[in-house]
Amino acid sequence: MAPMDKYAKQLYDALVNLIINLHLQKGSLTREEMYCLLNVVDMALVDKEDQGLVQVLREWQAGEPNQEIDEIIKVTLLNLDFAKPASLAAGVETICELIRYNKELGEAGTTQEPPQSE
Amino acid sequence: MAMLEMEPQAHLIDLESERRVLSSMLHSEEACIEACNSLQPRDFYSPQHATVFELVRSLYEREVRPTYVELVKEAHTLGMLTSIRDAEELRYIAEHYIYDGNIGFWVKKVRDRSRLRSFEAFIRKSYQLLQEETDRDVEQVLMAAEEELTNLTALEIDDHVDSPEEMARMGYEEVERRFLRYREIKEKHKGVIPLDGLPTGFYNLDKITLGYKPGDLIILGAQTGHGKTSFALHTADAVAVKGDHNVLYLNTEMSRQQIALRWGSILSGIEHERVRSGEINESELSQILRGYNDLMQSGFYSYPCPNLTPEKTISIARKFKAQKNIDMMIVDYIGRMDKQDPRLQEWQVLEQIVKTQKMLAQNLQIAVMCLVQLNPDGSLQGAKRMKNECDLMLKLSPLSKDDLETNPDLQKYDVTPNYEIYVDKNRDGQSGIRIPVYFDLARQTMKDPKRVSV
Repeated sequence: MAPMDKYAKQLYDALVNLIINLHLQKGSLTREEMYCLLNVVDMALVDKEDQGLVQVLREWQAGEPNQEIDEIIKVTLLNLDFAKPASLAAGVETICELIRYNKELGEAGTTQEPPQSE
Repeated sequence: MAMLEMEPQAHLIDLESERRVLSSMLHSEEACIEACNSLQPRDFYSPQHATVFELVRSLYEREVRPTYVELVKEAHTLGMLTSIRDAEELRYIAEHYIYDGNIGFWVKKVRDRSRLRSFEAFIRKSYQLLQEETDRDVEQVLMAAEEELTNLTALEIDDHVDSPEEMARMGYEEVERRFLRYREIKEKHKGVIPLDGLPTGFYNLDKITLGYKPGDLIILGAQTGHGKTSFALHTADAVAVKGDHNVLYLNTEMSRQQIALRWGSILSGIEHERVRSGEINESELSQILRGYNDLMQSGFYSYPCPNLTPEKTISIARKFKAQKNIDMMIVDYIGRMDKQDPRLQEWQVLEQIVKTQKMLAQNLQIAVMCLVQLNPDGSLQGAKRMKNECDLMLKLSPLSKDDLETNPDLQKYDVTPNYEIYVDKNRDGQSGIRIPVYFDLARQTMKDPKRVSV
């Protein structure tokens, strides 16, 4: 485990504090949402093995918003077991498919039934 | 009771250092290893810090990288992170970033404060005890205090790991030292090997061991009545009377008078029985006086203690090291030490004692000689374990009539050897060697028989 760069650590600490506050003080994050975001922060900034999750999330953010698909991705993320690589890999695959489907929808300009999330 | 509940002095509390250590543990694996190896939760003054340390350590032991996120998750799952105040303290810890290379410094600060707080609590407790007007056994009170203080200053083996550079440098320096010494032996001393440590009092044993070195644990085994104390005093004579070093001699069996009388015989060469009964003439009395004069000028310190315990040997040795700068301690003999735990078997007690003595030798950098009793068949209880711990294991035993008749080599001495020292283990040199010696039972003295050409 390589120590983090000083500025990355400051950013990391600030993000973790913000997430905790949003749960404990503001009540705007549920316990599951807090855990999920904390895990994502750890993966993005601490070089933890993420099975490609961070990259997939970047692609998701860069794509067109779609309320229904975004909701499915969120549920998928909340149900991930971040400690298990197999669960993580399956979640990444599902999210990839949802992003691809959303992209296809955008290109076709039609509304189709989204693929089933695991 | 009020005294005991008082807060420790402010300068004995260092919350900043505690936070820095914890923060560093969240930041680097090196820091985690260092802190987990050197600290315990009780070393942290703040109960919150102690809990955080336990959580981080538990994550690390479960092979979960202990990041700030993992700590938060763990604390939240266990119900320790329920309010914004709890979160504030965690945030405060995480922000105490330090450069990982400095972790040793901060760990030492936390541990030092912790040890001083324990010492302060010990003093308070002792003072409280003095305030209470109860009829206590003074000896018991002082012994208990001594034991507690000994535990506080518990000897720790230095677990320093040598880097390849350190190992190579040390190896080269050692070889260079030996090379120069070898040259000096050849050129200046005409082949006589100078000692690395304290003289053993026997020429051949000196040659094999190069003397008793600082940090060495030497075990000498002999059967009852076969020269344990004579060997011990012969050693003390070589080191402290003929030599100019200081020796602490602990005897669990003999009285002060008995030890003093033994010296009279050893140093004058007059039969012990005659010294003891007073059956001597005036010239012999003068001879004995000269002997005691040598003892008076020597570095021999005697401490007869029938109720010796391993803890007591530690405190006595430390005291004498500090006050008299002793180079050697002789324990005569360890089978007679008091059992601390009656459930332990004899060999387990011996093993514990031997381990303590080895640590003591290393920590104080003195040679420690322990005398043990051999079974009638010449074997030693718990011998394997003792052998593992010691640097030199010697067995003193009488030569049988058969040996004397069948071994022509034993006839080639100025005086026929009647005992032998068997070198059972020698960490720094040859072992399995038998050294013939002459034990003058009447005078309680030992000597090297000299080789003569036949």
